[in-house]
Amino acid sequence: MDNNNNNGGTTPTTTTTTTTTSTTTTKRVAKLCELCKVQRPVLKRPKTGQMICKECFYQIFEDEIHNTIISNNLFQRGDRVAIGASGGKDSTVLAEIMTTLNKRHDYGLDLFLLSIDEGITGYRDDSLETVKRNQQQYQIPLKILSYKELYNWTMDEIVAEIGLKNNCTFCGVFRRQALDRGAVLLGANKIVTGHNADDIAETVLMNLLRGDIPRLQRCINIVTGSEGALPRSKPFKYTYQKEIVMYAYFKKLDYFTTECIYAPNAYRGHARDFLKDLEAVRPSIIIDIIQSAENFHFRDEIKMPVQRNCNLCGYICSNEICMACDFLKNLNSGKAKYALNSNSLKNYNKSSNNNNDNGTTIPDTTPTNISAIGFDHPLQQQQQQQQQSSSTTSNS
Amino acid sequence: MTDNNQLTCNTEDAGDNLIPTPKKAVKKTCVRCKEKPSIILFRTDPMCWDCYHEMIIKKFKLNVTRFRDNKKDVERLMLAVSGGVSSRVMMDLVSHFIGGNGSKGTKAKLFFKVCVVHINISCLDQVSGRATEQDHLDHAQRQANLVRSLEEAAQQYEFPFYNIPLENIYGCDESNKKERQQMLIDSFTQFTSSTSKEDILEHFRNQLLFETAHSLGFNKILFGTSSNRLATRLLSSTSKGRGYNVPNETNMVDQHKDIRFIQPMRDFLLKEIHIYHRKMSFIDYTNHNVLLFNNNSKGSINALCEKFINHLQDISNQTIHTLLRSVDKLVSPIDENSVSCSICCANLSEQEIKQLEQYSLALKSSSSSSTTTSTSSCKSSCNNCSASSSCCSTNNNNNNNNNNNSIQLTNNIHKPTLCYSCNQLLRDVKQPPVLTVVPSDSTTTPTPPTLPIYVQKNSTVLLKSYQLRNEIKDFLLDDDE
Repeated sequence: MDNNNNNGGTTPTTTTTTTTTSTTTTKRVAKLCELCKVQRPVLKRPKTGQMICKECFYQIFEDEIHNTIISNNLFQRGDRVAIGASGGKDSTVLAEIMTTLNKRHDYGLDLFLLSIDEGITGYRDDSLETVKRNQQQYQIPLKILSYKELYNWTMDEIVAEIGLKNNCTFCGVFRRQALDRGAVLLGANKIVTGHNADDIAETVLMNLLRGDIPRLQRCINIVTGSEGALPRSKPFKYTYQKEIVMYAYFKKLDYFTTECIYAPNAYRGHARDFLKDLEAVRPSIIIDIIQSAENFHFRDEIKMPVQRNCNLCGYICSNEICMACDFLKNLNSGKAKYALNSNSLKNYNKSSNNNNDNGTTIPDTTPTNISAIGFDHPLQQQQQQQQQSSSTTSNS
Repeated sequence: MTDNNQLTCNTEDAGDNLIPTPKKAVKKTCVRCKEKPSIILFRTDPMCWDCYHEMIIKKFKLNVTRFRDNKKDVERLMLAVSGGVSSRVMMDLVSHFIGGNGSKGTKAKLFFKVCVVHINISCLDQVSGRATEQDHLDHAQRQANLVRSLEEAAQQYEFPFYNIPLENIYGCDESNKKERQQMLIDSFTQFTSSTSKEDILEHFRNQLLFETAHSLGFNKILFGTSSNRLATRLLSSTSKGRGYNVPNETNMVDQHKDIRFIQPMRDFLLKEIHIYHRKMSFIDYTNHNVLLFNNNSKGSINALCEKFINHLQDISNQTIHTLLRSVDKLVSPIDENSVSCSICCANLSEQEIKQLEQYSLALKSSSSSSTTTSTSSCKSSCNNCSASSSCCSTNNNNNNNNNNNSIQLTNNIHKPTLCYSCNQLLRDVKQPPVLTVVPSDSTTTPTPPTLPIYVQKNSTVLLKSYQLRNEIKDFLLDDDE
């Protein structure tokens, strides 16, 4: 290695050959990888601007993610980890990296692929095929859970009902819950998602622009939902999207590239374009934004929503019923198109209180299968267990 | 069906483009006096000039007087004016509320001592990248007009006026003015991107204002920054990794050691300030600073943020208020252990302070070797370090196994005494020429980038205090003990 280094590192000024040979040497030497100083570089790292070779890129890319996992103590030996897999580049690289690192560093994890089928014809059905191929490749068990199974609605039907205005809100709320339910079905105790540094920087900007302080506080955490039974972590928190694409490209990974056909989220689009412009001026900007957000200090008096369980399905939420149940109720009653504009949750809570006062019961619009799948709930079960154990200890 | 769609435009399928909020029909009479015709829609209220004038002075006065410590003491306010629209309006507002020209009472004047300071950046014209000689002449003419108009305005309000050239950041000895100007120009040309040039200008200007306030004996500096500018600063500072200090920079008051930087125009949109400016028939002589160094096709981060904010504000007129409300919920913790960055005087975060402590320990242990290290080797080690972006990075994603505890110096500045963002700033400095290569067409060696003496002084003092602290740390008690 040292010999190679010396040979490769010979500078043109020290060569005492003829002019013609020295120029050829100059060209060759000038293009050596900045890390190993042996191979010819094939890429410029988006994060640092270093010219490096393919092998060094794999090494540094994988090592950085390993460091993130270790320094944040994301996993314990024996954890059952569900990888949220959409078939896109982030989750495909995540599946590859998790299997590689699990073997190389002997994390001792049981890995699973978990896909959610939103029911978007021409998009999700194709991407799920990719996930199935990934399953074959990595030999990890795969679970596919559909919105239809869970909520009795597909995204196609939801879009037909509400149009393209707030469809991403519905989809996001449903997917978050569906992932948790799927993980419970798999018997997993942790979820990892492929959110990358670009996504997080974008979310920080969005939350600042929306004035959403609780989310601004939460979005920067590498592990969220740790208060519940299913913590979610983001091993790609410091990984640039461009490097993920590079990794997938050089490793020739099989991933699905089409954008969701129902994703005209204009406001996020503005933030994304803005971030791209900033990144063109200063590539470190994405890490700088994350660095900023990690250093935000919030006033003590800010009230964080109190976590509780949904009255209808038991999912963890901060109101009497969770967003998914509220959305479902509106979808089933045909009011979903207008509900997001008229603060439906408050109205619902008021009306439900009134109903209770009159002695009538809340109409149960939850599809029958929602409570049958996944949650009956780990949280409730946990609480019940805790209650039981506390009662037994008090009895004893 | 089409009628229905039009009526419920909020729930209409939006497609790719956001629809700007429809303009409401403005009532013609003022909502306050209900007599005179309205000239401005302030938030949602149409107002006539008199009511608007009265209200804006009231709000401004409240913003200034809320930070008075003792009402019996004379309040000493230094107005930092660039000559732009906002600072010109601020001068007028101050004169109104302390009972200056044209207002009724003069009693308040006894309790306020006000001066006006303008930092003159005309010598930076050479680094602005202006194309023709004519441009330079135009700019010089504009600058002269600007200073004259400010001087006249200050005279009119009976405020003393100080025109401080930016090169005074290198000292104020009149005999070497040209040298100081050259040093300033050299240090600016060393920064490659316009973002860094704008930032370093901002830091120098603030430092010079701070020093001027000290020497003149003023303890509060008022800035005329509008809410648009502050919202832009919120985004740009966040983007530059200044998250720890963003609340200080964008809130109403920022404590710089013993001097307060106050933003009394924080409640006013640029639109509202412009209406005031136009109504008072003031003339704007400024060239906007964002264009000062605009020699790069990509533009600067500050300019991009401004463009983005303006774009969003056009879509929804609540954008700026929401952003500033967001930052109201943030706070920069300040306590007696706070340490400020040697360049920008922002507080260092807990993590940066820890790194500084480690660095001062490492420096102590290797002090003998560091004194013998030549300047050139220091610089080269620093360059290596910045290329691999590892030297002071706080992110755990960077693989910095080496150099972490080694001593890095650029012009005798200890990098751990700088904040994250200023370290990024220094990475933007052009590579110094290799010492072995002699320039073919000149016999003089190129001058290295020189930062003002205050930076080095701050850096040395800070490090020294940490070294002293290390010596006595065994005898210091924590709260827990």
